[in-house]
Amino acid sequence: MPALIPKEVEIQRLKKIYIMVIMLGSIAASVEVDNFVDGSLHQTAIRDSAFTPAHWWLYSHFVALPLGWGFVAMYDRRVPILRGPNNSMNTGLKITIIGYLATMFTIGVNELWHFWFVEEIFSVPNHWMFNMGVVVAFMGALAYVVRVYARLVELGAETPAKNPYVAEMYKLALEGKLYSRSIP
Amino acid sequence: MTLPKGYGAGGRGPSGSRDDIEKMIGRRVENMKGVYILGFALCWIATAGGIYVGVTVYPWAYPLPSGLYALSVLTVIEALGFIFIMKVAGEKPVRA
Repeated sequence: MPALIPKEVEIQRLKKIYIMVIMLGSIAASVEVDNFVDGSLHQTAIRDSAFTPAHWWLYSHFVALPLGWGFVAMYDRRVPILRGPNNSMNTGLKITIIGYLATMFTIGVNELWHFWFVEEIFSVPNHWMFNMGVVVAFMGALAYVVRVYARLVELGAETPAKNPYVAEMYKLALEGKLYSRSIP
Repeated sequence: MTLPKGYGAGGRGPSGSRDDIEKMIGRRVENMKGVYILGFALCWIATAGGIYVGVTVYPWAYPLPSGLYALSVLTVIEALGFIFIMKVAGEKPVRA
């Protein structure tokens, strides 16, 4: 695919995005740890307060992650190859931000729910929204990071995959055909 | 390398120097090691601080061994992220 900006510049910008994604990935891994910390706390304590350490940890990350991905979206505009349909935001990035915005919104919904129901039952609907939001965000982030990585491979900044099946996946991602033939 | 208007030597000799690229993109990722180290240090201090508050304010829910375990797991997660960032920032292109 032809470059619309100088190659060296594009590599630097893609690497900055890649580094931001690694940072956000570490934060997401930390949230997964807290899922267990909070879960184990609620084995013994019912709804205590929104301000327990396990909840600070959980909620602050549900604010930090959408903001972090929003920052990636702002920086992403400098790489033309990552644009989505009709020069909009990249589809994977869009899905990630929607997913994390859902978790951000759910903080409020969750507090409202626990105003009436103090039991911390994992399967209540307000918790579905947290979990579904995170899963949607992870799917979008995977699509986006594959796209960034595939472009780095194409520019020669990353070593291409040796496995022919994986190499084929990168090729499809570069052509915008990994997930759908209609959504680039 | 073709550069946008206003950058490069404008046909007078070689273009695309390191300075030109830094003018377009700011500091290169290879030269931002201080930011990564400072970020990692702040991140770890925040983690340890949060755990200290948890252990001190809620000792019934977060006894010291749990806190130390959480700190170990989070240090590993943060260290992996930091190592990966340093690797990505420092690696050279396969083909120039």
